[in-house]
Amino acid sequence: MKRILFVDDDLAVLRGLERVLRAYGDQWKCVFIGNPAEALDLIGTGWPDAVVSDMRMPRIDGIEVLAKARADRPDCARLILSGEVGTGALLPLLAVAHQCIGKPCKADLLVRILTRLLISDDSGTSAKLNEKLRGLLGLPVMPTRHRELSEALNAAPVEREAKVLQALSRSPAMTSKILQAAGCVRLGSAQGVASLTDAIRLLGPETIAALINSDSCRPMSEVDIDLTRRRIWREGAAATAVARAIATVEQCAPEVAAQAVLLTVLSGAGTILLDATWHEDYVSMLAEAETEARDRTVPELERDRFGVSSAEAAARLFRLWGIHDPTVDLVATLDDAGKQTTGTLGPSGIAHIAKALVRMRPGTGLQPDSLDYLVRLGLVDRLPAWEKLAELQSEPEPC
Amino acid sequence: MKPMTAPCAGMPTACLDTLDGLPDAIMVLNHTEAVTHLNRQARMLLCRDDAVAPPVPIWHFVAPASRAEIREITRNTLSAAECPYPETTFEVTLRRSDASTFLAEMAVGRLPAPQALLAASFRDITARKDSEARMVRLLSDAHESRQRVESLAAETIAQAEALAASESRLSMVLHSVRDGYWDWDVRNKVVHSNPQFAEILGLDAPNGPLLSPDAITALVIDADRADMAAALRRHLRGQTQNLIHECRVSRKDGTLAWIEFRGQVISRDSRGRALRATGLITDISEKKQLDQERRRTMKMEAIGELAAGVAHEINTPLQFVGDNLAFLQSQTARATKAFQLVADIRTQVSASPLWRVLGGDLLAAADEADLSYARNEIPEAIREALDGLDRVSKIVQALKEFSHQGPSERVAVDLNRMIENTVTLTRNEWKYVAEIETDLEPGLPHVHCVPHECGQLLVNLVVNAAHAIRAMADGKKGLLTIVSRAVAGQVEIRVSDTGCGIPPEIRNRIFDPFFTTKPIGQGTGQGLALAQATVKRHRGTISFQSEIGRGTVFSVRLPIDAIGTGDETDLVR
Repeated sequence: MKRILFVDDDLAVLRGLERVLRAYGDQWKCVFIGNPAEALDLIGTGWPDAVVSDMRMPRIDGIEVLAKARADRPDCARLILSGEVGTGALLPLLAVAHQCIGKPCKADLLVRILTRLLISDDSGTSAKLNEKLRGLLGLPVMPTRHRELSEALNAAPVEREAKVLQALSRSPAMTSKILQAAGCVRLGSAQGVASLTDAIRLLGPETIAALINSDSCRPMSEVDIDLTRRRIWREGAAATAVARAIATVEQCAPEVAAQAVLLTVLSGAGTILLDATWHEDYVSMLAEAETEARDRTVPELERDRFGVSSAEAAARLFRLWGIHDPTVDLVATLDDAGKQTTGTLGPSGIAHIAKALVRMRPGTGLQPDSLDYLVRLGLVDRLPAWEKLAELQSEPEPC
Repeated sequence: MKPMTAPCAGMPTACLDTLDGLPDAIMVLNHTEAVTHLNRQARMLLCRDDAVAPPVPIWHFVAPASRAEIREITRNTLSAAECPYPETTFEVTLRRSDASTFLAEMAVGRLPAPQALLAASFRDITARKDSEARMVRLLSDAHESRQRVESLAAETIAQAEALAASESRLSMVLHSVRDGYWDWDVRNKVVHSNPQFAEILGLDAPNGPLLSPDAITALVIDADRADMAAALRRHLRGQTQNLIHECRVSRKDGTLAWIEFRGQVISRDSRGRALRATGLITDISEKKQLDQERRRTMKMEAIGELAAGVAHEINTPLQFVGDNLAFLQSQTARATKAFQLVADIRTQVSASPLWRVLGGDLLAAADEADLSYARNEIPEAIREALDGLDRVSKIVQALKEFSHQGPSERVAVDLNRMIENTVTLTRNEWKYVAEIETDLEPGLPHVHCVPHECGQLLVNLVVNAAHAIRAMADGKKGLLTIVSRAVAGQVEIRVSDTGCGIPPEIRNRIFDPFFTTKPIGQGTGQGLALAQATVKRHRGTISFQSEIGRGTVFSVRLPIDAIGTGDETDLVR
């Protein structure tokens, strides 16, 4: 049974939560503490699996409570439940909290969030991943991308936004962190921040600059960047470019194109995540994929080894971070051709095809289920044109 | 020939007679500087009858002032080595026998004789000297007077020029300034003024610069007239140093203007009664508007801060009210099952002996709790309470977003969201008079603007539209529509109402500050003026189309990317 600690100096809030959560007594053991100092003591015993804390409290604030939780049990899920989160405290907050939920938060929403975060882990690998995810401050950032984004932030105001978007479309690590930060400012996954443009505007260039220069977006040291990692990053960037190119040639609406790009970038976070967590395993898995490309897809191989596909792993991280729910759902199923919407070519369809095209090895065709999907869409005849786009994008990029 | 008398020794008498025929007066002196002979001319000049013999010392013939000079000349001449001819003349004052004097020009020479003799020739130059002096005096007078005249003329010209310049300057100033100039002849009840005076007050000035004071005070709006009159009275009585007074005047064209009167009484009669007062008037409407805007901005900022704080404070109770209601909801749902069971059992056991004993109490208790009604109504009540809570949450959220708008700087703003918040927050203004419909373009580009100004703009347009519908007073609910569209680099927001419309005759004035069609005290006349000012600051446009009895559509267009084009200084207030 998962153990949740609630901290709020307003006892009425705690009693309200206690009453609505009583019905979930068989899943969770909840403790409600009105005095933050006492809460720190309980956290010190390593008791809670999750801490949900108010932000503004006398003497000890929510950041301090969650910081203690992070220090004593990095794998503990940490949430802020508050009526207000100023951008002033955003960086220290992001260093300790996974997500922020605004008051008032309806009971069923809170339950949904907690259920997702505390889902009992069946397989050993998956449980380990969850543990890793909760301890993760941010994904490794490629130094080139970090420089690109820094430069973009310094661009003239008229072209800044476009340049920032462009730089972010090649960096899953920084994109997901920015969506997490924007969600915190907006207070909660109930609203979330669905578009990257909205997130950029919500945070503003100064906050973004501070964020990417914080520990959560530290560029990876050059010595740790081997060929596999270069390849992972290159393929991710290529998939994004292909998604954008397909959206352009298919004359999609701007918001469809933007979401297709966002989904592709975000799903790239999963590959980076699995590689960062189990680097050697991931390298050998990729080698296996080279030889077995015809029989098994990469997501299948990932599931075999790690219990989750990279896209699913990414989705877990994003749920923990409170990133816009519907977007995360689409990321989770991105690799699964059977789960793509039919009828018209939508953002996730474009992202799926783009990723499949980039993964395609020379001499092999598109994976059968992706091909089936295109048949269902009635867009098989577009495939040769898209393959050309993918070829253009797969030119090795000078690093 | 008879020898010369002693004094004229060495000088033949014939020579002496000859001397009488000469036109010049000549006196002969011996070596002792005594005059031994005077010729006829000399005798005439010196008024002597005799030709002088025995010798007479020369100083007899010389005025005391010239004696030293004469002596020096005669001595020099006597002692000279050669016989010099008189080369130079000198002026001496000679003395007549009657002791009168005259100015004479004299030349002295030595005669070549065994005994030194001097001959001094002289003539009366008084007349010449006089005329000379007169001439000199005349000349100098003339010169002086010319100078005087010239300087006088120059002075006059300078004065005239200065006068002309200052006059023209003054008139230039008076004609070119925005201020109105007034010069009030208090006793004769006439006000002189420059053209701006009448213009500022919106007066027809058929008499040119002459106005009647009553015509002026009649323009001051009723609410301000007593104050104005009091200020004027105090100053005329000398109770105030200066007249400085602000008041509103109603112009002939119906516009309202804030005017500042400044002036002073500049002359009084012996009893201290004001005779004349002058001063300026200034149209300070713009300043007043800016003041009001600034005050409003400050007020909005203060309210914003307050509202954000209040919203935060409300959110906490909203949290536990919601939780408690949710708890009650789930508990009642379960309790309802239990009640149902009790009801079922009751029908089954109603015949049993035990029920006959205990059932009465249970039924009474159930009746007292109105249980059958409560069973249906409690869940309904909770559901409605939760709905209400939802609405409160939305309002608080809107208020928070609307007020949590930070400093007066431009940021990217989602106008669709702002429109939705505006609709939520202005509900009280329109809910009884209109239905509201929004047609917002999905994915509307964000607009760089000052959020609280744009929020205020939207509120003003919506409230105005609601008031236009209310003014129909036909008891029917109108329709208020808000549309947002992206149009060529701009975002257009149209606020339409099915209200009374704007009469054509006031269409050109609705954006004027202080112009209002509402009764005094109900409208500040600032709403649309502020709206226009906001739109201008954002380099946008505002326009409207109106049809009497059908309604009005206000269209605001704001450039999407105002970055770098906006004049940031006008935002720093």
